[in-house]
Parts: sequence; C-alpha cells; structure tokens
Amino acid sequence: MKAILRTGLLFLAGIYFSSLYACAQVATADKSSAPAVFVASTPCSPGSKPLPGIPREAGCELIKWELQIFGDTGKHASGTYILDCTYGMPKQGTRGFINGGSRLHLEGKWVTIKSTATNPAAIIYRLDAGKSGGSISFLRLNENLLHLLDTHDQLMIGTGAWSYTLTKIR
Amino acid sequence: MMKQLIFILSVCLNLTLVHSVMGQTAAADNKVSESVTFRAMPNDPAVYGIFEGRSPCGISRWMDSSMGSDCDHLKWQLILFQDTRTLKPTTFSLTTEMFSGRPLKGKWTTISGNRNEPKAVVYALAYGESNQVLYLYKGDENVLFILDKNRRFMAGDKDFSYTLNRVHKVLRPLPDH
Repeated sequence: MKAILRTGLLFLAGIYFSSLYACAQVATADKSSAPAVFVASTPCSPGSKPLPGIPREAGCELIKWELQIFGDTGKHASGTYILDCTYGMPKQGTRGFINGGSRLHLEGKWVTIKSTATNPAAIIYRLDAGKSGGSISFLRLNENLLHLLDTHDQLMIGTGAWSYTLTKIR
Repeated sequence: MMKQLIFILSVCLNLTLVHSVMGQTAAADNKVSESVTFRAMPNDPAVYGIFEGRSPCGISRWMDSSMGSDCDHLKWQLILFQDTRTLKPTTFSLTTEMFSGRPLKGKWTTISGNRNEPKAVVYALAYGESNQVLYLYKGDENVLFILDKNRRFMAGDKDFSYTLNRVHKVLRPLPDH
C-alpha cells in the first residue's frame, strides 16, 4: 500500500514540476514572419500593476506598451510574442516618464481561448508570461484592437486619462 | 502517509493557483477609479454613470466639429441619465473640446449590435438639430468603446484610444493661487 502511495506521490509531483517547467520556459519568438504590433499607454496603480515583473513598491502610474504578436491571429490558435514596456511616473506636461521610466521585456507563447462564461462569442489571447510566471490576457475586440483583462477575464477599467485598449499600428 | 499525500497535494494546488494569477490584476483590484472635480457634479439615482477618457482628434471630423491640426487629443466626459423608476435611458450630457467646449445634450437609447455581433449592446446618443447619432459599444458596465458611423470600432494610437471608463467623481476645493 505504502509503495503504491509513494509511486503515486512521485508521479503527481513529477506532473506538477513538469507543468511548472513548461510554463517557465521562455519560448523563442518565431521571427520568420512580420508580427502584428499593438501599442498603448495604460494606467498602472499600486493595486493594479497589470504586468508581471513590476515590483509592488515601484512607483507606477503609466505603462507604454509595444506588443509584437507572431503568427497569424486570424488563422492560428497559438504563436509567440514579444512584449516591451516602459513604466513609471509620468512627467507632467510631457508624454514621457520621470527619469526615463523602467523597462520590462517579456517573451513567450500565446494561445487563443474561445468563449467565456459571460460572452460565448469572445476570443481571448492568453500570453504565457514566461519566467516571470502567470499569464496576461486580452479580449480581441476586432483585428485592430485588444483590451486587457483581469484574473476573472473582465475588462480592465481605466481612468479618466488612460484606458487598457491596445491598438494595432502595423 | 495519507495525511502527507493530502498535504502535498494541497500545497501543489495552492502553488498552482498562485502561479496562475500572477501577472494580471486581481479582479478585486480592478476598480472604478476616482476622478477629481472642482465643481459639483450630479450625483443622484438619475445618473446612470459618468464616463471619461481621452481620444485622438480624428473623430471630430465626422462629428462635424473639426478641431484643426493643433488638436493633440480630446478629453471626454459623458454623463448618462436614467429614469429613476424604470431605469430606462433618458438624456445625456457630453463635454469635450469639440463644439467650442459646449456640452452636447440629447437623448440616448440602447440598441442591438451590428450584423457581426447582434447580441452586443450599443448605446445610441442622438444630438444636434439633424439628430446625428454617436454610437458607444457597451463592453460591460464600466467600459464603453466609441464606434464610428457604421458602428465599427475605432482604432486609437500609442497614446490614446476610443475607450471611455466609468469614474467616481470626487469633489475637491479649488487650489489656491
């Protein structure tokens, strides 16, 4: 009996650590085709740092995003991405950051998930955040617009100044 | 042995849950933000919601209030009113830099989405003497997307988008000069 339990235990632990390793792997983006590039300026607050890798204590009110999606999002259900962000405190009267802001670079794999509990027609892009852990999800509004989601796949609520909608520029 | 197994499984489960939520804003932290105002705002059951945002200037062309080349962006403040008894849409007030900053007033209704998304909810805001219509796509209770005349989403740029967010207005005294 003990031997069976021990084997089962090892098996489960193996599955668990394998899945963690798979999540933590950084996928190499397939740069053979031109990516779709999405950009945005979004809010960032102590309660809602929407990206992994931004320290809780970091001063952050603004994030500038550049998200490159590799793989034809209209035809495929998965691919790779590269995300480059600058975050920090906005410099008043400019579109820049105090002291230039801090940089964040993520790359990994994305998959699409069709349908949510509240919207059966929804298409969600789920980005594996690589070594940083976790995921980043967007609702596809159309081929040109993505909107960031929270952990319950609800639309992120922006502020009077900035929203969480990313726009495709090429 | 069974206790150990249950303990390890529960630790694995907890770690998996923590692992899965890192990297996104927790739903509990996704809240309506405060927006400071220096003048009293309507705040009664007749207000369905106050939504704000900043958009590119492109929309001004087809709203017949072209802003000129020096326009950097537009600040939007939309107040939607409802009937306090039936909760049905009634009037709205939209303030932007367009129309010389004069608030645009009219009536709003809810209509269904376009051919691609018939179940979507769209707000139709009728304004002006010729009853022009501004369409807003209801993402959810807190997020609206400005649509074009053909009820299609509008693309923003790296700084601004055609998105309006529900805000909670907070009255503050005018700063001393």
